Amino acid sequence: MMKEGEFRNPSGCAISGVIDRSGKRMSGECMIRSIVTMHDRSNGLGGGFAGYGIYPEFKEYYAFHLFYNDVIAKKEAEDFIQRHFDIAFQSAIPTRKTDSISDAPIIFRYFVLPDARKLETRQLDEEEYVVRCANRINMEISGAYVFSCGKNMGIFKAVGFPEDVGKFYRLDEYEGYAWTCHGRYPTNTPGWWGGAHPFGLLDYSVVHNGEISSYDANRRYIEMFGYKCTLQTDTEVITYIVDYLLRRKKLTLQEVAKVVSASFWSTIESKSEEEREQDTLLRKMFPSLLITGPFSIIFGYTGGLMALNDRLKLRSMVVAERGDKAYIASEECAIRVIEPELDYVRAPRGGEPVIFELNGGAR
Amino acid sequence: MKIATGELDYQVLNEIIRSSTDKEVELDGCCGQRYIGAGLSGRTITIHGTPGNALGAYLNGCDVVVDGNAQDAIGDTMNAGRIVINGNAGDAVGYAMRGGKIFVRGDAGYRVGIHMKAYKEHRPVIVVGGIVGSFLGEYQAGGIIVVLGDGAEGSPVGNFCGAVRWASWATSAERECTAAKCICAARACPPSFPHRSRRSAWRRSLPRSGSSSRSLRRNSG
Repeated sequence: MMKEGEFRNPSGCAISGVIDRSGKRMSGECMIRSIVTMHDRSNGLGGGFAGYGIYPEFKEYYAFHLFYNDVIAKKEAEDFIQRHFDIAFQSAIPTRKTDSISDAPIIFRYFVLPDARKLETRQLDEEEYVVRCANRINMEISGAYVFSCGKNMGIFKAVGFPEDVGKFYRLDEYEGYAWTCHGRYPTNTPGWWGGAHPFGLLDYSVVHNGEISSYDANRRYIEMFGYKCTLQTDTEVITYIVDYLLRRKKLTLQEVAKVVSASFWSTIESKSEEEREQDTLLRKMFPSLLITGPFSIIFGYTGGLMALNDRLKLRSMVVAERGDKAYIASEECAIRVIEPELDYVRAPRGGEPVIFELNGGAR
Repeated sequence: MKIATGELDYQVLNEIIRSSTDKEVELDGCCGQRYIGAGLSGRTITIHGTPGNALGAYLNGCDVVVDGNAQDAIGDTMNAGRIVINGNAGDAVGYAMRGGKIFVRGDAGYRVGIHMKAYKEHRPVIVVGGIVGSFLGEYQAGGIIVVLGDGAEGSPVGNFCGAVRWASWATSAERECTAAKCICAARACPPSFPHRSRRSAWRRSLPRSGSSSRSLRRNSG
């Protein structure tokens, strides 16, 4: 069987997200109930969740979630992790027997801090060190795959319908202040657990509905900066683009939106002078990071969620608020099912970022 | 017939509606079920809640009324009948519509009336009370789209809309009986994307009260 990364894998999908801006934590159950209303947007070949604030007892540690094909890969990866990190705690990720989920790999998690001596000799900042280590495991250790490596957050994903994936990972037993989830509809894949969404890098996570047509242009550009697109999926390259622009180029989220979902030149011309200058600058600085083709994404990070559509708005997405809670979903019904009475619900226009952060800002 | 829709599977729900002989069908607590009323004739379907995508697809002469918002592709390839949305609608309202009428009290999304067409006495109509997104009437080959622009600040339509380009040649097109027509309440406005004022967003957030159609629309969110 060809694994993902060995062939091109287009997909349509369903996405949903919720954040309680007061920081109050809620169980993953609500996301399962939300995504199930959009069951027909997925085809059972992938589902996943990202929860923020779920590991308060280890919030200073990077939470590594790994898939292993076999014990040999596990041994090799654990040796690597031990050489590069101090492990505070490790365990199998608890799962529940679920009829519709089969062929599960070995799934483990590790709460780690970078090895202080190694970090010093490498002269890297801590986050870059973690990213490089995660990449090395994915590239060099056959049968091992890091699918989550952020602090106080975690990604849970599998092949199956998202509601079953949520049950499988016992997400009703986790509590987070923000959740995102994804139901996948790949059209030509044998399906692999690592290929499901969300995609994560550090505490960033991306769930994505769409099929970007600029994949190769984006990939060629981003690979110049040390990223390696191993899975050939849109979502992976989006994750790297956002990481590059936010963490390395220090752009704001609004600026990132103007790069990846830039307005047409004719639209830019009709804007105010200040906006026109900024839009033009960003388009000229990062022309290869313009993402074309349909997409709607929810980008999760510590303390916030951002919703963004492609500039032509070729995918549906609505946002809503109710008190401290804010919601994002592909369809309104996915919000109404968990919050029937809303303060408002609206559809952001193409390329308009909608950002919901914890009261007092991201932390 | 009254159906407590809840989270019933869309196929089950649509089968119940199709197999019933009742002229009047009322759905309570609708939650995202797709294709409601697809291909049906001679019924009145009243929907409370949020119907799913492709509401009234291939509709062939029903009255469909939704008291709240609806999602994408309302009246997809609809033939005849009437769909009334008392709240807002999603993208691609009246996708490839060939006849009948769609009324949206609030706002509608992108690509309203995409691929709409007309032939002889079949002349589809879409009326949107509020504002619409970009690509209004994309590939429109016939029919009438009216955007009233209630609550708009600036243009009631987004970018790249048929109306703006067609204003000059609509008459000749009509003469040829393709009858393509987009009418906007504020055609003179620059074609920038409409922005709602903070005030109107705030007003829309008020709790449901009063019985006037205006307050109903404001609270449909």
